[in-house]
Amino acid sequence: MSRQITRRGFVRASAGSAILSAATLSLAAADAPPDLVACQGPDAEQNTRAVVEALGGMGRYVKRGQVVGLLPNFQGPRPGASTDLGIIRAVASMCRDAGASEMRCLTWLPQALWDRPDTKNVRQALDEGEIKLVIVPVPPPPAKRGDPAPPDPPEVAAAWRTLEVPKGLKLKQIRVFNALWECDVFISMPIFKDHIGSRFTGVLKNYMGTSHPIDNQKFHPSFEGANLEHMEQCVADLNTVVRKPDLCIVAAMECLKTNGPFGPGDVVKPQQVVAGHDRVALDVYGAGLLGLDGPKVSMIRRAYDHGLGEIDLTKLEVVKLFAMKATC
Amino acid sequence: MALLLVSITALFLAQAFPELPSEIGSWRVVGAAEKHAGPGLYTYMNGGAELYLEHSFEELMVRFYERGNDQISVELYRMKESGYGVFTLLRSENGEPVAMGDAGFRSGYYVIFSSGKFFCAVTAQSEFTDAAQAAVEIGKTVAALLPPADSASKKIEPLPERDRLLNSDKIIAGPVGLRNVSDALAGLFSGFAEGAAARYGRDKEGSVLAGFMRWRSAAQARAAFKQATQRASKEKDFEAKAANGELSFRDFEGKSGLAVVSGSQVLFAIGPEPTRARELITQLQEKK
Repeated sequence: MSRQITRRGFVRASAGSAILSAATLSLAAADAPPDLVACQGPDAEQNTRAVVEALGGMGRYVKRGQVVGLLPNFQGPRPGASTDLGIIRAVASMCRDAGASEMRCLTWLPQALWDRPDTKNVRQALDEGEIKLVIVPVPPPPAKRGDPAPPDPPEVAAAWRTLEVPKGLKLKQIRVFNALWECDVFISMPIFKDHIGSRFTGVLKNYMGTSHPIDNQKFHPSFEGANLEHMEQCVADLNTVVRKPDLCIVAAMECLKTNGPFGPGDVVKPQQVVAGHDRVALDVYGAGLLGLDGPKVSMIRRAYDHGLGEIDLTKLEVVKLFAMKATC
Repeated sequence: MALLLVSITALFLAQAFPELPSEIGSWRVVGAAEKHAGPGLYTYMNGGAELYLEHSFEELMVRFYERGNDQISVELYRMKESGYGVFTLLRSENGEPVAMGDAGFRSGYYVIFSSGKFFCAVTAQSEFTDAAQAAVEIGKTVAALLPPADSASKKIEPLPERDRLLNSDKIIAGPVGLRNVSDALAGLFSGFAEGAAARYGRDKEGSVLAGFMRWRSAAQARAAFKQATQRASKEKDFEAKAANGELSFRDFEGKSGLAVVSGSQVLFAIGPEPTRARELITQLQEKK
């Protein structure tokens, strides 16, 4: 654990149980890394460092000279809508310390969005973290809703690969950007928050940030005349074919509890950063932070049915850390 | 004066976006006006656009105002018919009404209001000290630039008025809106053209949610009802019972639900007491 962290107090306890000790405590190095770690405290950067250290440190994931792809969720700076910039800064710093040769922020959101006045802090954080913004080209949207999209121009098509979805119950084919496979290490960095369509968005749904936006539109029920479970099944199906994350670091400092994913809406402040590898387990944990019963969230249950992770957190080692200001 | 009248008249007729002032109090506009039409909303809003599209979204104009490091966004959405539908679905239960446009609401760091065809969200981009006050100030300025209209939709007229909780009405235009109203109903019913719902009782705790969904024909409503009955019977959590055009079920919170097919509509009521739910179904039938 870094010096910066040991200056603060951390308490390790099983999830849901009482705090075991109020004293400063180093995580025992001999412990096998837990399945899921959450750290609660007022500073996103510190929380991020703590959860990654608890999982074995960034060196467990990133080796010298490797290219790291990051997939944050940016919806502008409004409260509870985007991955905290403190998390971005901490991850960039840890990847650099681990010897990463390059860090890439992967996105298909168009350049115009990154040029807007409300994203200047994001651009600044990426610049400071020496994170290269990789914007995957997308075609303009169809003129009318529901209109068939014309074929992508060659320069756009070259950036995407078409994947068959053999286990897909709704989704049979999907385009995902090549950039996801063009990095050595992939770190998914979503935020837990409400979604007005699927009730919840976290790790599983973050992958819609890698799939073609025209294909994503077909996830939505209005194009199918079906109910909302269509989208939830599509998200679960998508997760069966995309590259698995090497690590997920999820923002839960402040989260939209209503009117997500864009807001504005009511915000809850769990003041946590959560990390692990199991997409289903992470989303179950995150849903709980929003007052939802994770296993009953349709999208999560469908991903579990696909065998993508564990839905019962009692079967996993879940560690919760509390970051507090040092008193001495 | 004549020029002002001509401008307002032109705005009223074309329902174009108003020119927002370059300064509002100590707030100064930054960047150029950004516009997105139709499915272009997907490129502005990375998720959640469906709710607006369900309500016949036409075009969005976005502007940003800055004061030092603080920033406020103004998102002005023009709908084909009325901005009130989206307003009802985004109105927070923790907020409070504010005199702005036809109907306004503020909650924490943001203000929303509807005015005729327009829905507007004024959002502080962080929770700075006077965020709510600043959002209200800017919201009122924007609202004053919009043509006066009554956007409080006639679509809620079929809802009984007695015991209806203030600001609880919601206009449902599609599945996303229905989920905003009830997860259970969203899991059961699909394909309707429009609907509305509200809460009834003394306060939210213990209140009954009641409303209707309307299909384009009685045959479509019957087919949707039949499909809902089949869906409910497959999920044991619903504890569904269906007979004589009535479907009783439990929602995901364990509350008693009742849905009744009636002509081209399905009337519904969900609450802690089955008796009160049935009373509201009767009132909905009488209003119909």
